[in-house]
Amino acid sequence: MATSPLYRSPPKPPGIYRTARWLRRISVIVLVVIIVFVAFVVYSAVQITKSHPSVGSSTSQLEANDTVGITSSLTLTNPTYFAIQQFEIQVHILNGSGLSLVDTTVGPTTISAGGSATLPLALYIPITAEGQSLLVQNQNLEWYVWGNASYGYLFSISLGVETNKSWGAPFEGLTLTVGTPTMMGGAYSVPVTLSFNDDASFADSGTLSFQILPASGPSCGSGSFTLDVPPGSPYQQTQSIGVAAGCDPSGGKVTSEFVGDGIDVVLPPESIP
Amino acid sequence: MSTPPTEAPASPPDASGPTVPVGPSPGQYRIPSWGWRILGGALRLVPLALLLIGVPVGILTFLQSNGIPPPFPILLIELYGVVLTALIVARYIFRPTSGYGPLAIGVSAATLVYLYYIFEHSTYTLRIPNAPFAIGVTFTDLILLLMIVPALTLAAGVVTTVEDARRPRERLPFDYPM
Repeated sequence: MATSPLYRSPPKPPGIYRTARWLRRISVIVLVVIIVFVAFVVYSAVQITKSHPSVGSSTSQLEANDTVGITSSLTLTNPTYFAIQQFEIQVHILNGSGLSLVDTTVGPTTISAGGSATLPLALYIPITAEGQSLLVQNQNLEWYVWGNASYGYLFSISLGVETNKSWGAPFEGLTLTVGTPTMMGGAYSVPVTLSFNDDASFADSGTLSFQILPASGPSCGSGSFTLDVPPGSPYQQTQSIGVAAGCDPSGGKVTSEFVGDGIDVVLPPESIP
Repeated sequence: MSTPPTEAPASPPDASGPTVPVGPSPGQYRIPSWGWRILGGALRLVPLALLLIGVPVGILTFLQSNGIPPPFPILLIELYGVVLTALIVARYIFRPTSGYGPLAIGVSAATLVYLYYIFEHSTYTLRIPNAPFAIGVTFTDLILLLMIVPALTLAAGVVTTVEDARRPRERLPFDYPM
């Protein structure tokens, strides 16, 4: 390259100097890009306030698989500029004694930017084993709900909610009272009184059959009550059943079972004084 | 406006000498004097202290005063802020010297350690006082990405240290042109 006597082009920096300079320049560019990107993500995330999540109508009923099923849905809109990825809800429910009843996960799903998604919620609370008390005892259930999601490729966000919800038992205060056997018309009979409150949000429709078991030996007798108890109503009914001659139910127990539309649940046994 | 006092440029290399490293010719650069560099460093101290100490400590104190436990100990953040600020100011003051490269490495290394500490605590769970819910934010990926920046400046510091060792004052005409 020709040089003018009046102008000398500035000397070119050596390669090692240019390397260091470029490394510093690239670091500044990377920093600026990250700051701008994070600022955009934060600005975008703020738009979530325009979202109106809604919970669909919920139903609660006894299910065929010995559970109480609570079903609902959650609709979320994403008015932001980034997808909400791996959105997941976990529900953990403990009964009044602190025993775990349900551990359920909904999702994961991705809600695209500007889109919406409806997540079906279905909780099946077992009414056998540790869940059996739910049939005959109102209690406070502890709900732990966690929501997790990834946002803007760089952030994971979680939301945890702890709350208590009251549970109304379908056979609250269930008692099966066995009276004293009496002889009528050459046969022994005993009055059995069934009483409870249906504090659940669904009706008790079906048949409650019971069996009187003495302290030892074979069954004294059995019977059944036909139920159609609306939610929130008390029930009390007495009927006499025939019992085997000489059978003394004192010190024994009454076992019962409720059979409804597609369901069959065993109720907690009652001791006979 | 008067020009800042400058230090005398390096003496010309001895053409007859056998040494290979050749420094720049006199008059090719003008280094601000120690006094001016210290003044410049002191002026940088204000925004740096605000950015690296004032803002983080202010945010953490605000959280604490509202009953929200801060994600990091405030004293540690203050300490890191003071160390980083001091190193950055020293790097500026010592830029014309061979101490610049090691100081640049020191700033980058301290920043990496600082970011690594934040990386180790990059899941923050915010429990709202008197409310039954908690919000958690994990920013591990962001911190990993940010660690690229001091990693690059660390490499630049190493390159400059090598350059200063092999060819002292070679960079001065480009850092302090006339």
